[in-house]
Amino acid sequence: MNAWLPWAFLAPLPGLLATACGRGHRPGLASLPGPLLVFAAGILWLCGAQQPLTVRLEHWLPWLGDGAFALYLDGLAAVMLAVIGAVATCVYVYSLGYMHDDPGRRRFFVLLDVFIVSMVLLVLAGNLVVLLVGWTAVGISSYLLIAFWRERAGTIAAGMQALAANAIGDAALLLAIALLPHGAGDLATLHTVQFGGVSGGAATIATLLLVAAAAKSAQGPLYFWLPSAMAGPTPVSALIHAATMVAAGVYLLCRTSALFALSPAVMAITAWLGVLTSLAAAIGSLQQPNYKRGLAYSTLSQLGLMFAAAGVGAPFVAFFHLFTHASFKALLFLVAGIVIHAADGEERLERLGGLRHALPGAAVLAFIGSMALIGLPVVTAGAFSKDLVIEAALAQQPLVGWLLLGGVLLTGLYTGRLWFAVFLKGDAGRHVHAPGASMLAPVAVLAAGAIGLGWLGPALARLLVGAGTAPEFHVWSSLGAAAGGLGLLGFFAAGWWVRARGSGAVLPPFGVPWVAGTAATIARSSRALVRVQDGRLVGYVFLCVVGTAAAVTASVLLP
Amino acid sequence: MIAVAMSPTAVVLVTAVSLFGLGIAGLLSRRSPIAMLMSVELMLNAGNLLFVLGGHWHGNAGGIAAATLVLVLGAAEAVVGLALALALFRTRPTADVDTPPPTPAPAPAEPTSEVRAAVSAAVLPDRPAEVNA
Amino acid sequence: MNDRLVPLLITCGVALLSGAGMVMARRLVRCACLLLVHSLAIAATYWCMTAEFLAMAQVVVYTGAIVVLFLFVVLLLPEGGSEPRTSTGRTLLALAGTAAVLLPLGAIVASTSGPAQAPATTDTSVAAVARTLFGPQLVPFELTALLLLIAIIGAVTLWRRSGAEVRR
Repeated sequence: MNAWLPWAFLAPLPGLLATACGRGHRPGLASLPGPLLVFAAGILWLCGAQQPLTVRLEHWLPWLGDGAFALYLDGLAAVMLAVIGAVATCVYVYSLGYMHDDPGRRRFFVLLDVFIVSMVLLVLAGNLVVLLVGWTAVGISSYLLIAFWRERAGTIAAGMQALAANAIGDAALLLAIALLPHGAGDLATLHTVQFGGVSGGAATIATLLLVAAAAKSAQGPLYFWLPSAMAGPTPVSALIHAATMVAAGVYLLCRTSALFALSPAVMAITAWLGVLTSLAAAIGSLQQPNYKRGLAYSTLSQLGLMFAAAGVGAPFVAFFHLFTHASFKALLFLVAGIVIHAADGEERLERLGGLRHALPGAAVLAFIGSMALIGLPVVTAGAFSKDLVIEAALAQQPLVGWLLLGGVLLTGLYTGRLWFAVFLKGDAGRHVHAPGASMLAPVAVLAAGAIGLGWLGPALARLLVGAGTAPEFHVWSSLGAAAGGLGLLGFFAAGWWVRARGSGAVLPPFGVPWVAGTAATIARSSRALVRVQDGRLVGYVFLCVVGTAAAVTASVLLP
Repeated sequence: MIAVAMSPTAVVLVTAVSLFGLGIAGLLSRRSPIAMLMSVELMLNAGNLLFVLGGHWHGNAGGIAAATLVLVLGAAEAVVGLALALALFRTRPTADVDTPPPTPAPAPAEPTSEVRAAVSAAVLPDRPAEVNA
Repeated sequence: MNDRLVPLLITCGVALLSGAGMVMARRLVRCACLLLVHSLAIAATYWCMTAEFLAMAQVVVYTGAIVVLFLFVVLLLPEGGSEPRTSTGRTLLALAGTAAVLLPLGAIVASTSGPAQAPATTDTSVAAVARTLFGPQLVPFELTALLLLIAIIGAVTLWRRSGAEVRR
């Protein structure tokens, strides 16, 4: 039985085929066992084997020194399987109701199945080459799902943005594989490779892996695709762009944390990239007039928190935050989907308001999710993980820690703005229709997770890092109280702000002349660069000759 | 009298490199597409000479086989290139690579002002530009 | 190859001179005729290097088909094949590009010393070439058949499309 567990990524395939070739009126039902099996595989490993399981098919890539197809199922992968399976099951059940009268729902479930297969393959990968296969496949299915409603304006452009960022990440990962001294980059032993031949050593490989992870998790300058990805259906936003795919970058950082530990400079860059993205995205969320985009910036901010945790040398804490974040962020997105579905597709905050009477269940669930996001101590899981992140940062790099603590206040502000604008302020006379049970039930499950998952922390720590290096878990600490207090302060301050300004309260933009000037400069330089391709044959031929000359010169000069 | 110290290898190498250089010079300086293709054929011949020389160095017929395949390649390339050149330049007054085709291209607008306007429209919240995106 | 040194010198010299003339000739018909002379000289060079099969292939395929094709096309050109003068800047550009490639290439060639132990005689008979082409080089050989097919289809498509436009 245990030998089959690493092949869990193939579990959604029968459902995929059944959905693709079926003819019934409820297309998604056949796909439902897929994520359930993935979840079961993770739980089976966690309750049973607890030994790393490997699969190696040799000579899969004969031109590489060690080109084997390797799968690796250990504690980290098993927990990810459980997370992916659970969130995906909830999203599938939810989608049965959400996409009930969408003409393309059969294609939707097929694409979701493709995504699950690729994501699980990514998680179960034993070496970098198999990881790259899963990585690229996840990017493609993300594009197909973002651009799901092809006929709507702007969705394909949004998908192209996701592809562009993914291309940068894929190229970085491919370059990292190419630069490895030999073999396909076995993940379990990556940090023991002799990097003497690589210029820059382990730091180069680590930097490339960081670029790949930042592209997938939308950190730093590569953030642009995530807010645009909200053009896709809300279940897609919940599954892919909140809980799982964007977490793949963090997963890569955790998987290769031993390699990162070899280069302190790259770790410092990771930490600062995370904290700066976290703060900038939190401010950005305050400026969004669109409900889902506000949540997207919130995801960016929380991912920055995870990167910061990984950068200060606490990969377990980063993973634990990924674990709890999956539940409450998916919860928040699915509730947003309930609201948007009820309001017939209205996503602008200024038009949504006062929905606590029409959608009481949604209001309560969103409140639970918001409290988890802020990090209300004891009651919510988010508190446990966030406090651990701030503790680890304060211990290793105090400045990062203080900035993250300030970020908690911003988190409270934007979370409160979103909750108060949708549920409290505004006219209650909006015509909405209540959601069905198939949409509320999975959200309730996720809410239970948002409350309770934090208590699994010590068990996770024992499993993943051993008892010796595990962080201390405090149910109640001064830091936790301070963070929780700051968060609540922000939450209610936002409530007062929304009460004063209305549901459409947004932070006014600052620095517009600077942004416009930068954009104009980039546009002008691109027009100048375009003149290289002027259509004249001589120019192209000359460039070919110059390239040939450069190649020959390089082969003469370099040994 | 020709110095006998000059070996056949050196002669062939010098010839091949010189022909390759002549081919590049012709490719870059000629204005007729047919002449450019003929210069490319010069370069192919130079490569073939090197292939045959290499075959001698290795002591087998592999160089000649490769040169035969290059010959086929040159034939295919000449056929397609000539068809392309003829098809492109049939409707033009002169078969000249440097003369642009007689269709006018629209002049691009000044980038700065339109970009500023677009950014301002997208960012400022009092204009309802940011809808269900 | 050593006993054919003098013929080798002559044929290489003719090839170089005709190639140079071809690059500098103004009228396209002269270019094509010089290309003819050049390809025959290369065929003779192959004979001097004891690659007789290749020499015959060069005469039949290259001279007999490709260069003849060039001649036909030159005769089909609208204005009879005279080319406008190249500007001085363009000529300098060409010389610069050529030098950029030739200098490192020359450096590589000058430092080449050939094999330490060259085989005394090479079997360059047709049988040997056939054994190579149908043995280790079989896949490229079959692929060239595919390549020729694609070239034929491409040339016919290009010609038909332009013919249709002209008729309209």
